[in-house]
Amino acid sequence: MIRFVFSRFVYMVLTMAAVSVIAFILIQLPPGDFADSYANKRQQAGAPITTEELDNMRHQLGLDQPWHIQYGSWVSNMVLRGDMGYSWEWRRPVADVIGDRLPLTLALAFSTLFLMYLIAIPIGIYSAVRQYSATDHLFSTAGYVGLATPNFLLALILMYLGQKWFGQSVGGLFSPEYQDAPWSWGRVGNLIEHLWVPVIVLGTAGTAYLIRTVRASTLDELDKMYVMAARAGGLSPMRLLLKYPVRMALNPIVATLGWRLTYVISGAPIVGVVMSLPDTGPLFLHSLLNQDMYLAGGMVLIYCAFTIIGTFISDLLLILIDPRIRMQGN
Amino acid sequence: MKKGVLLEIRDLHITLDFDGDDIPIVQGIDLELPAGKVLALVGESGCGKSITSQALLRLLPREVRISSGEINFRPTEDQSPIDIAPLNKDGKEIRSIRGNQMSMIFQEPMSSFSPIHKIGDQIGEVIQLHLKVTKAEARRRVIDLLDKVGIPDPEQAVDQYPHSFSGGMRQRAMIAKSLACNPSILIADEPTTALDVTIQAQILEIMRNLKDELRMSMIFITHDLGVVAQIADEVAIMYMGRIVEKGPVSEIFNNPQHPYTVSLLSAIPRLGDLSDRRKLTSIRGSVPSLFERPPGCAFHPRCDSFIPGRCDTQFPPTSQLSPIHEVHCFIHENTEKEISS
Repeated sequence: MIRFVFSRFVYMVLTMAAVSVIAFILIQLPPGDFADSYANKRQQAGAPITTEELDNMRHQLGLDQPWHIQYGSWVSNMVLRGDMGYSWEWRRPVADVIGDRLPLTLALAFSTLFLMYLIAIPIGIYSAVRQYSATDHLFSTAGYVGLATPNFLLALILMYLGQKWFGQSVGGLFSPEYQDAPWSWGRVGNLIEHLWVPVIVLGTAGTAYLIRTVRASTLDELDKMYVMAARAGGLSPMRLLLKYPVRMALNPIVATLGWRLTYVISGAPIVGVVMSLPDTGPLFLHSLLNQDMYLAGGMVLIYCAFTIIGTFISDLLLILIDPRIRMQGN
Repeated sequence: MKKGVLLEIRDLHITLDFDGDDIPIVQGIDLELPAGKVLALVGESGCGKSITSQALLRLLPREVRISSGEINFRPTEDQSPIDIAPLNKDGKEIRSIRGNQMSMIFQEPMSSFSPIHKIGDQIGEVIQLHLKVTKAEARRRVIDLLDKVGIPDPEQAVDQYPHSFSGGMRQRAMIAKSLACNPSILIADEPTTALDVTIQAQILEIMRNLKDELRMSMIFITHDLGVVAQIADEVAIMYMGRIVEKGPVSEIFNNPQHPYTVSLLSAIPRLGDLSDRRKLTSIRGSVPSLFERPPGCAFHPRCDSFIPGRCDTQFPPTSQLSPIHEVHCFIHENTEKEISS
């Protein structure tokens, strides 16, 4: 088992390394670089930059170097000194820029995930046990509508309704008086008050999808022979349901935890922009538009790291709940 | 209820709910299980034998229900019988019978245990449910049971998961589970079908010994007449939801009277026969689907003794060939009268 965990860990590190290369190539792919987009802006502002200045800037930023050398110094600085590079746009280290906003992204992602599972698992199980009942049909219909609604649209609708009914702006994560205030219990409370709208927006489609998954995997298990065998032993319906089919149906749910996390985080930029949230979503978008290379690279890397760590955690959980996987390592 | 009988099925009808239509699966069967005997229920796939066995413990799938009839059961002869058929299917009464006074073994030993719970816990669960014992006592009993069904090193096996057991071992464990509370009736639904022949023989041997040792009665569902000959005392032949012939095993094997029974018996390949006759004997045609049940005696389209206008209009009444031998077939319609007159 320890060997199994260790090998998973090694895979995780290797994947991370591979992903960093891909992330770097990706942000290099669009034509032009930060210097070009800077020159463009100066042009538009009516103060064009000379070719000489431009070359100078490129040289200073290291943009005239071949890509593998740029990559090498990026990665070695990151690994050796925790330095993720410098954001030219913000004129601050990337780590600081991301660090400011990451906690909010995480708060949003984890509260969304938590609510998704909290709602979807009981509903999914109920729908499976009462398959084709009126309630099952109701949940299924609501689920399909939830799945089919784009989340930016849902965000706009909720913001409109919030404005109309409560006279309250539901955009952002803080009321104006708490916007730049230091952290306090009042600020946390204010955050929670605002958080529910983006949580609903981000979580609706995922919850609907998760309900379908839980329902399908529970249905699969309900018809299995071991369920009838356990019933033949005299177990009460509720204990039977929770001890056998539901336990088994958890496997696919736990196994997909990793990318469910990514799904929530990668859905966040659009919602973040629409609802003007102070999290990493809008930050990521602007870094890409401005070709702020190290910031964009850092963001891609962090999103990927979440997926990989999420997968690693779901692997560990699977080992805990399923003896067959536990034994495989031996 | 007759003396010496523990389980009595009276005119049992079972239907399948198919989009609001009631499709009959079992149509009025009568059976009796005497104490200490093995009753075999024999028939082709889909004849309703498994469904009948599941009905006894009210384990029927959601869309299948008992539409009428009685299932009278008493754990011992001194107790008064209760009718299982009208009970709430997950209520306290039936749950106190399941696994306790009447237990069941299934066809697929590979899937009859949950893969993520220890074998010992799954057997111990039944013991703790019905008997007032501590966890440690239950565990002790599980080890004894595993030992009894011939699982080597039971002290260790009790903590193993099903995937480290072979098919034969799992079926032994399943038997151990079914015996956990000393039931008076054991229902075995094709317990050897999924196993290879040598293991089959071992399992049958264990079941036969334990039946005598624990003085149980048994209902044995199978399509294999060879197995019937080895283990059963009484046999009932089923075809499309009806019992067509029943009697003691020796009587049915030596003196089969229903054309279906006759064809089933002649379809058993015999060693030695194969050299002169290349082809195995088979019964003409195949079992029709539940939705295309032939009228009258459902076997008539495949029967060599088919009487037009008779067999295809009405199901033959019981012909009591002897006090112990019963058949439903028009070719015996008058035989009974001769006996009784």
